[in-house]
Amino acid sequence: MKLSPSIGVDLLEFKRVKSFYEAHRDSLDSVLDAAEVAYVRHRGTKPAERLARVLAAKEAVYKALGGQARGMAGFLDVRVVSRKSGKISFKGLKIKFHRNGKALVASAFGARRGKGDF
Amino acid sequence: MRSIVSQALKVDENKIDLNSSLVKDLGAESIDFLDIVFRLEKEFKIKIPKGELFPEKLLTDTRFVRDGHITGAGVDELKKKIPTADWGAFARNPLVANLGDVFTVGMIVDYLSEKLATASK
Repeated sequence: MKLSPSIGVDLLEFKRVKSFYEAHRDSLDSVLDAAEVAYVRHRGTKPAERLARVLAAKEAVYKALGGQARGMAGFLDVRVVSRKSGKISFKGLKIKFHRNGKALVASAFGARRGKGDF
Repeated sequence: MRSIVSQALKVDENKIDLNSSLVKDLGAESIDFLDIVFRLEKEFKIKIPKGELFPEKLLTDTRFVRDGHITGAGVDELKKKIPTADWGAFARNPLVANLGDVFTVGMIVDYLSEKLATASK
């Protein structure tokens, strides 16, 4: 089976994630796994920003794997924090972040066999 | 309900009615769907299991999603899981990319009504 490129990109505004975090910080474990929650709460430093990285990475990976549903949090089953290293990663994909003062962009790219869907 | 959607999506309440599509009309993104679920849980003191209101899990099931389309089995599953949504138009052209358009404010109201009615029994 030939290789095809996998690319996914997502943008999140920090303001949006900050208000989400402030409203729902106690409910995160219903949508993030333990490693992701630990990443967000790491040393208590900038949790909203860390949450933005996790959510944007999840969405970018979901799209790179062929996910196409707009909105709808189709990424919920995608896990992006390694239990071993505690860092954001996903097997077979490189995840990169780019940011300015207002927003974060996560990109996930790699090559995989087959096409399209999960 | 209108207030919850307005707070979650930062949209004027006057722009929200039962037929408003969360994605197409109100510009909802993934984080907004999560926000709405959490706000509903808090406001109405209910628990909304993952995938019960919005079918996230179905989207990663290869039985139900293929080549960017929801399969026949997938559409049946959606109708079973979310009977309150209007699946007619979507079923004629079941693109995954259009799935978000199905979810309207009215659909959420219907879901809530059933949920609260069950909880009060």
